[in-house]
Amino acid sequence: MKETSQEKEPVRKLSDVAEIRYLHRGNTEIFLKNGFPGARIQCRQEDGSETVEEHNRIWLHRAFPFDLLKEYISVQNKDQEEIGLIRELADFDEDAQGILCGALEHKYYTPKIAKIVSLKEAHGYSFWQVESDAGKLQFTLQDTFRSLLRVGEDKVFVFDNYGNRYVIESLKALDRRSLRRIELYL
Amino acid sequence: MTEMEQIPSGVYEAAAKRGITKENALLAVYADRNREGVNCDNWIFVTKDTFTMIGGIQRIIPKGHAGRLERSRLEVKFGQLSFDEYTLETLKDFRVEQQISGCILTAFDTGKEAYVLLTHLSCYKMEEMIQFCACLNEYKEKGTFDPPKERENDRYCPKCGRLYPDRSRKLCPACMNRMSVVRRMGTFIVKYKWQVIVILAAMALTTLLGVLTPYISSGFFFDEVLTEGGNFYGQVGLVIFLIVSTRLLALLINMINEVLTARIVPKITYDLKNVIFHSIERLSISFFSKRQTGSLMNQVFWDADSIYWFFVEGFPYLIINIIQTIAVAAIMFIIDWQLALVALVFCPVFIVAIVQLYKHMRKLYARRYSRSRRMNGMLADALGGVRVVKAFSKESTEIHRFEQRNAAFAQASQNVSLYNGTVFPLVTFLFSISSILVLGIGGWRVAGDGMTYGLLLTFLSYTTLLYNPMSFFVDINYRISENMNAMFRLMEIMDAEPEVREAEDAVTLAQLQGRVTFENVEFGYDKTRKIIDDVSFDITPGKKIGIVGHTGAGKSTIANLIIRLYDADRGRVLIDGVDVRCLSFETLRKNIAIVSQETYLFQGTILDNIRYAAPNATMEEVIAASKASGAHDFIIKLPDGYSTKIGWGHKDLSGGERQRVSIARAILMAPKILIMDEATSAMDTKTERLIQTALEKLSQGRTTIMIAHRLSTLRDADTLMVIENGKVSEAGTHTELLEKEGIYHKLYTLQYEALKNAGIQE
Repeated sequence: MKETSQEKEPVRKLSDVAEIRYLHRGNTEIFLKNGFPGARIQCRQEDGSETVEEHNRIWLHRAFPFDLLKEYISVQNKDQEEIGLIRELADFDEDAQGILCGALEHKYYTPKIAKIVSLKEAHGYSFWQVESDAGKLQFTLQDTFRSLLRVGEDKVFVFDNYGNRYVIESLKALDRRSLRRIELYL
Repeated sequence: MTEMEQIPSGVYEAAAKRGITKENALLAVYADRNREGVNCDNWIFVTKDTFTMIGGIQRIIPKGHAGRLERSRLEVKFGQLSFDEYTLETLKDFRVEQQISGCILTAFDTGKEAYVLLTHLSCYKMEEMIQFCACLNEYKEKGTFDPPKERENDRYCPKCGRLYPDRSRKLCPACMNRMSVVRRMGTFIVKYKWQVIVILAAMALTTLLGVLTPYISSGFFFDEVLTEGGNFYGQVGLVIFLIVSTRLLALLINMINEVLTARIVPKITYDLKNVIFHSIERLSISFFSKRQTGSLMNQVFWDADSIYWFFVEGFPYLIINIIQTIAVAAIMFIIDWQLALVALVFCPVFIVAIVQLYKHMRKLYARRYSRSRRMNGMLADALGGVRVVKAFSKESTEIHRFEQRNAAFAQASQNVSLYNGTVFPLVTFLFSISSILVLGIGGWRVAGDGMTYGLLLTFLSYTTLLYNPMSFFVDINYRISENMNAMFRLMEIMDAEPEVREAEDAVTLAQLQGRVTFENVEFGYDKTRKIIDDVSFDITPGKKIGIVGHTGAGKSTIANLIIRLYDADRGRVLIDGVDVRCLSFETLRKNIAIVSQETYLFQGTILDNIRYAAPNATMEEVIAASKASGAHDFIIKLPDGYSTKIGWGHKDLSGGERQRVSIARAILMAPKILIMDEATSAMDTKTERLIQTALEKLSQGRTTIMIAHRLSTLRDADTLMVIENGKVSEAGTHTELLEKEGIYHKLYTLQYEALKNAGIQE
């Protein structure tokens, strides 16, 4: 048998192999500019010198949008290239957290459905009238079965035919009539 | 965008207070969310100097006293909540960015030297806002703009105010008239109208006989033949003859009906399937990327059957059942109106009861269906991925997963069976109540005031005839709406406009030179993200061009634009100086061949696959093409050579082999322009080299565009273009680009080093 990698060098942890730049209060300053978050990141070069990378605007993207809302947030530039990863928002001070939370809320803004007022089907489309935290809404789904995404036992995302999303935070909390209207599609 | 005339008066008044009038407003648009992302009525106005957003809530209030809500009596009041004004001069580069659920409108503020967030909007308003941005940017640049041709209102159903689900078709599924769908679909069977008429006539006759039979076998038999003093007393033979002959007649008619139906059913479904498939095939590639192949297949097969059922069985039976019910009821009233009332009185209760029962039953069936879908999906997943399951020894997890789904399905099936077991006897019982009523009251009448026994028996048979079609009536409504969905889906496909269309006066060029030119081309698969951004280049006929770049840089998109799978959003793609949009599909398809990463081989022999685009090619040409593409060597080793069948259950080819067959297919066409999009990615470097050399000889006088990851593939190209973020960032020969020490140099060094480390020297 040929020599194995173990003999050559000690086993390295996965996190050592994959270079992930985690951003936190120690290396990154988050600021708000014209309603958008920006970042100033300190980078250590190979020769040991430090440079500062300034991004006037950063884009945030949740890595696990259904499970972890405040953890593992990818920070991207305008070309959707990852600049770094935030392990959790608590790695930043409160002001920065506020800015990041605000930006995430803006990006992931999804009306929460509180009540399904009516749900009618015609010709393969379903027409919804709901009450949500954003007021009364009306939208259309094409192929209702495929347009509902159940996350976990209790949460349902609704995707309309134009790409808008709505969410039913808890099926259990829904009133009986509303639940009966969507039960079949779940 | 909204025209000033269409702005609600309340909003208009609020705008007027801020100095915005019909005269000075250049553009107006409606966003349905405000800057905070909350739903509201947010109006944006642009004048020569200002960019204004007025946010508020529109309330529709009935004028005067509350009564019937008529349009003329409604007044729209606008309660203003917010107001933002910007100097137009400081803003530029307006753009719409897509968010997770909705979009934002941003612009570059020259004063602040940064992009500013102007407002949020939902995806419903995205298209309008993109148009608005385009107009505004054009205005900022040139001082004028072309207003879009489509009016905003054209996107909404005038009846219910909903957005049309598909913007290219002004059709609202919620408001569509059922009859118009039926009429349109009816054109399919017009061809067979005589057969259909005969079938209908046969059905009508069968019904008539069905109505007559009870009278002959009960009323007539007991009262006229068996009763003393009857007109035909004692002539039992006559009755038997009558019964036998009506039965024989019914049998004959039924047979004619069945034979005719059996003849035309396959024809109509054949026609329908052809129409559906034809409609699907003519659509542009973008249609397919939006839909799953599986659901399209479903459409072709099930919808055709469903539509056929409606016209040949459902609809005619409905009419016949209606006529039969009316006729039976009428006869019953003529015979004895009091007893008829007794029989009918229970009818509404019966109908209401079965409507409810069926409703619940459909729910149970739907649940069983959805659970079986989940179970089958899981099964397909686990069996398809059996290698992975085994490799990670996850058998027990999969078994558990299956058990869960299977249990859920079993439970749903059990519910259906239980329900069927209890409900159908209940329906029969409900039905028997009316018979018992008729029997009871009729019995007294027979015993008392001279109603004949035969008449009572006839009456009882008619009661059965009356109640029999009730279940049909209840169920038909549901089935018809299912069929309507099928028809609607078909109409949707038939009406869908291919996005890429051949121009009416398209030019057909017999012989192409092979010049390919891009003039400021812009393109994106979705409207908010440009994949190709202002790309211009010119390829001289007969040259070999290499396109290099990162994954997702837009290389393959360039190829897609040349062969016109998509049309450019802006700018022009020219072939031999002619816009591709003006060239006939024939010219494009005959002269340009593409071999892409995803090789698809159709079921059939290797020979069929190679000759797909050139069916008349000789065997010698096929072998030559295969030789050049490096396919010949492996094909000839197969037991069946070129006649080897590819596809399920037959010999399967490896990725590299498939690619070689695809290249042979393209070469055989002898195109003027050959595009190789990662066509040799699955081959080893040696095979690739061999094919390259062969192609080199072949490419004399042909334009070759090579797209590759592996830079060594492209070293000999006359020109190399480096694409980055949708733009051509560098161009030149291999040596020139290396000397330039730019992106290409970086990519090349990286790959070279990687190969060297792996011990591969090129």
